[in-house]
Amino acid sequence: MNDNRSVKEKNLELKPSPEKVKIAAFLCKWCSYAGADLAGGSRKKYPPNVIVIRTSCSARTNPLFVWKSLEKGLDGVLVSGCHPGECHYSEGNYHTRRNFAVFRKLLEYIGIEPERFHMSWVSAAEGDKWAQVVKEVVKTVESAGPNTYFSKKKEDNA
Amino acid sequence: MLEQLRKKAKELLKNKEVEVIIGYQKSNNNSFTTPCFIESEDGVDRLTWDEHCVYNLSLYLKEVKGKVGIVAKGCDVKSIVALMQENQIDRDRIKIIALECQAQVDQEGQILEKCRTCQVHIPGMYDELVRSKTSPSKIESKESDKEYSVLEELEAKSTPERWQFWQRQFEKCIRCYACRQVCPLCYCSECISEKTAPQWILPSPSLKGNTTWNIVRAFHLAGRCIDCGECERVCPVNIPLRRLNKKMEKEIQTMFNYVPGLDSKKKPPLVDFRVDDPQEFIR
Amino acid sequence: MARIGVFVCHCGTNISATVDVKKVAEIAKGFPGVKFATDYRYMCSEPGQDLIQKMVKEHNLTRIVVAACSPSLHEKTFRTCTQNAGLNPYFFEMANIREQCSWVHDDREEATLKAIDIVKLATAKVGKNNPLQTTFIPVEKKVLIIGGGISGIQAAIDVAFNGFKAVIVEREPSIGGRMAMFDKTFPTLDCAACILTPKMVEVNQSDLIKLYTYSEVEEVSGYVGNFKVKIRRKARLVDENKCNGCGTCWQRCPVRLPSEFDMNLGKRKAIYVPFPQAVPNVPVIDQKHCLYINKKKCGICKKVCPFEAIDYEQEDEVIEEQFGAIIVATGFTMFDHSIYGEYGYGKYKNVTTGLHFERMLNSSGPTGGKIVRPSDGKEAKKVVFIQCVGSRDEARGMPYCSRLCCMYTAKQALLLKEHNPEAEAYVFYIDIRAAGKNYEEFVERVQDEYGATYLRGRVSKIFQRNGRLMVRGCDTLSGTQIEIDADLVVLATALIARPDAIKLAQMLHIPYDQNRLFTEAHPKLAPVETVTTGVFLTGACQSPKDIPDTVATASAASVKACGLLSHEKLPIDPQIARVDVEICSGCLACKEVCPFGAIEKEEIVDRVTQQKRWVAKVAPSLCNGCGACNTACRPGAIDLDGFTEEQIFGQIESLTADKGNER
Repeated sequence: MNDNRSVKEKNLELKPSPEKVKIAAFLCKWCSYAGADLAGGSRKKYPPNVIVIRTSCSARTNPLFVWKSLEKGLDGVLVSGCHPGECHYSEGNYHTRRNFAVFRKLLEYIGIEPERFHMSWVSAAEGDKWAQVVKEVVKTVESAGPNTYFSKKKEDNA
Repeated sequence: MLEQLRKKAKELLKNKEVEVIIGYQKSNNNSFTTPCFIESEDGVDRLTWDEHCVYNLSLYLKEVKGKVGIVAKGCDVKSIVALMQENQIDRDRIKIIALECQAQVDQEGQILEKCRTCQVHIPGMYDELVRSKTSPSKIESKESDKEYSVLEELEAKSTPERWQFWQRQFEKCIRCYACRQVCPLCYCSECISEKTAPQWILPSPSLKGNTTWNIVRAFHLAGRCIDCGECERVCPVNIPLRRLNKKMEKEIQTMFNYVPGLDSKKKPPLVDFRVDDPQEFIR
Repeated sequence: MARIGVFVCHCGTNISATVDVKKVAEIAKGFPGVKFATDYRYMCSEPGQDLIQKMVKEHNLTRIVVAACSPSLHEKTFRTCTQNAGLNPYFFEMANIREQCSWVHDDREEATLKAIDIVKLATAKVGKNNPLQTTFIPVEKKVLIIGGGISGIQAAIDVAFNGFKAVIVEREPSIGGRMAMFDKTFPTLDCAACILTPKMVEVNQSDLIKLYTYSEVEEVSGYVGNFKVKIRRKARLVDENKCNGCGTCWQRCPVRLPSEFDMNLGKRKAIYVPFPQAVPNVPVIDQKHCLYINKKKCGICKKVCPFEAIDYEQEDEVIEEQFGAIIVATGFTMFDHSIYGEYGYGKYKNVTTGLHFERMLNSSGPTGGKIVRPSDGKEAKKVVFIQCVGSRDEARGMPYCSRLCCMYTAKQALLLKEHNPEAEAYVFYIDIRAAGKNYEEFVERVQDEYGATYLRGRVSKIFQRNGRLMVRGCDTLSGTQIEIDADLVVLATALIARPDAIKLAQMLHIPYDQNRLFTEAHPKLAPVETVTTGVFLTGACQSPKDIPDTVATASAASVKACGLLSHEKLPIDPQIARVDVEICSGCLACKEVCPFGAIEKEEIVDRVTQQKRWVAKVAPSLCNGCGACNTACRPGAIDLDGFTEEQIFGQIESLTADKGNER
């Protein structure tokens, strides 16, 4: 392998396309983050639209972080933690589950497409599942299209 | 009823069981009521009771120190229960003079929406109870058996329609925070909306900030709001806030079988969990 | 203002093959606060780390971002490196552009764009990192062992062997647990008492081991290194210091009661030791049935005791002791088969369980070693053993395999034949699970040498016909219905968690599964640890275990506990929750959600109003840093170092900076 490739191919265009959806994923560091690492270790390919924000536990992910992400223009949000009963902190993910069971109803009611918010349980052993979840989530968010909740464009079109 | 109420209030003050009684008095033009604070026996004649006593007086419980008597309707008692659940008031220092209440009316004389589905005409917790002598149920029961019928119209809309509906509403918001100030459960000395590091909510009125404020408010009250409806009543731009609160109430009742304000020993639903909580939405 | 340095790793070609690392470094130079950015072939190598330290000095950097592999690999490495560069070790963030970028994407442009985002996210976070200091707590050099069965006994012996003190708290009047009830042990057929009793004596004689029998743990507070434990010492009504176990009292006691130790097959007195080899050899008065306690009559034991050890006035005593670590060895209980209609709802006297059979086998047991029918005391010749009673039955029993029933049933069938070669043994089984050293051979021997009849199938019904117990089942291998007129039926009932397991789990803040069995920290790599640091598991309280496994986990748990105790002080992770009392409204939602009991309420005087009010307070040594409290806190009064609101907001904002939306 030629390590100087990066020099040769220096002139990458690097213009993010405006249509490409961007998704924030809040992952607990014990299970889901490790699951995502495992997907890497086993070279599972998945789309590059998801950027991971590492948290202590899924319970750290305040539902309002999800709203903030959407408010600020991200196209979708994924929250992932350990499977029920496997939380490193024994019961954090049970709280996460309740919080989001309620919050997602609020989002929908306020008029946010349900396609934009996702949750998953991915264990440290589920690299395959992580890749699969990302594929599905990206596809679903793409079906809702770019977030235009507070953009001028939508107003004009309406 | 009024005579009985005054008698009981007088006794409490006389026996030094309370230092102050929070109640209702006639407003200046006699057509409505305002809250009042009575500290002496001869003041109790100011107390009034009729269908214009809309205020949820439990709002004042945290601020008024010492031994307090409070005049409370069934819905107000629910917020007292919620405040007890959250460690905000010490039941021992409070005497509840509960009133049997059929319904309250707005300034046009219309029965309040919340009263149509009221389940607590006789309050669930009290020290003294003043009952009505007349036979109950003046409300025709057209909607009273459907607790959440107020939500149906909006729930039937499509997602973009709902977004548009709420955006039209939030557009009006002037961020006066009256909804917060009047809410007995918005008791935080420093609201998240005032936080600057980080800034959760854009402080000046803007569609984005207004939307965020209303989402935050609705979520922070989820599982706690006892539907006194005061937020909606005081909103100067008529945002239908009960339609947000009620939605949260409905979802929580459906999913967790929990109704706020009924049991001071129970954990509020969002600090509690069951191992078998619903999770069909999780991959 | 933070001065951030970004170091992008090639990881050989692991990253650089897919991500244009030079481009990433170049673009990172434009991120807010970034004063220096470069790439290097192996950041984790010594020259790589030297580079970081050199650049910190050269460019006066105050924060470090390394874009390389997963933090699970090298966060520690680079924290140390950051510290060596003269900075707070928590002024560092890792951008994972290998596992979560270069290894999972093929398109070079997409991967480079994503790597840029990941680095931007890390720089946004690191700028808001707080300097954190690791603090230390002293260690109390004593281990609490809850449960005095073989598990707790072995753990105590091992702790003492390592030179540390151990305290066993046992609920029953004697240590010994279930193993003391067994006759012989599989597959070697050692007599259980012969191998257990010496260990019980060793525990009793050790200067380092203290026994609290007839005692229960009532409350646990504190944390690793310094658990404060309240222990209730139930009133024995016998002074342990005066009694020498002569036995005069129980010989003379007039009250005869069924003996729990003998599974109600034998009798004991109202003042009794549960079995002859009990440790301590001090009786206890059964207050429910003692004539003196209930009717103020009798009082014989007090009169005959030569040492004036009987004390009717004795009361429960609650003592408090401190421990550095806790080993949970509370064992199991047996599944109650009376819910099974097909086995007669527990109505038939001659349908018994494995434990009853053990007591009958025992020559010092209630039947003197004779296998009899409990209904009439006559010898039982035809015995049917039924396995998986309550095990592997998701609908009515436990979903799991109880693991030892196959073996003890085989052992019991063998011993039956040894006691009476004329006897017939039938075993109904679903599968034979004999995975263990010499286990399979043992089961083979029971069938081939001892002639036990193994029938693969379920028993559909046990009923009575002409005063005989009829067992109807099927033999699925031959495809026939079978009816056996049995003298005795022995059910291999499932091993299950004790009914009060949840109470203990809550006390210790350890998780349990849907079967109420305590959950280990990791099923493979941390099998005796729990998520609560300093609390360890051994034996069947975690899952059904036979004696070898129980002893092995006991030794493992004690090694772990002693490992902790060998430190003078223990570091605690500074990435934990903290409360801003100015904002806290005292609702204590945080306390409700905290899985570790790390939050308590505290009364303070308000700075402004000068009035007293309640607020939440975090005990740093109890907090594990999950952040559930942060989410529950509406005004945002409680924050989590390492994952603060500001850090997370910064991360979200960094991702949306180029979204081009109206702001």
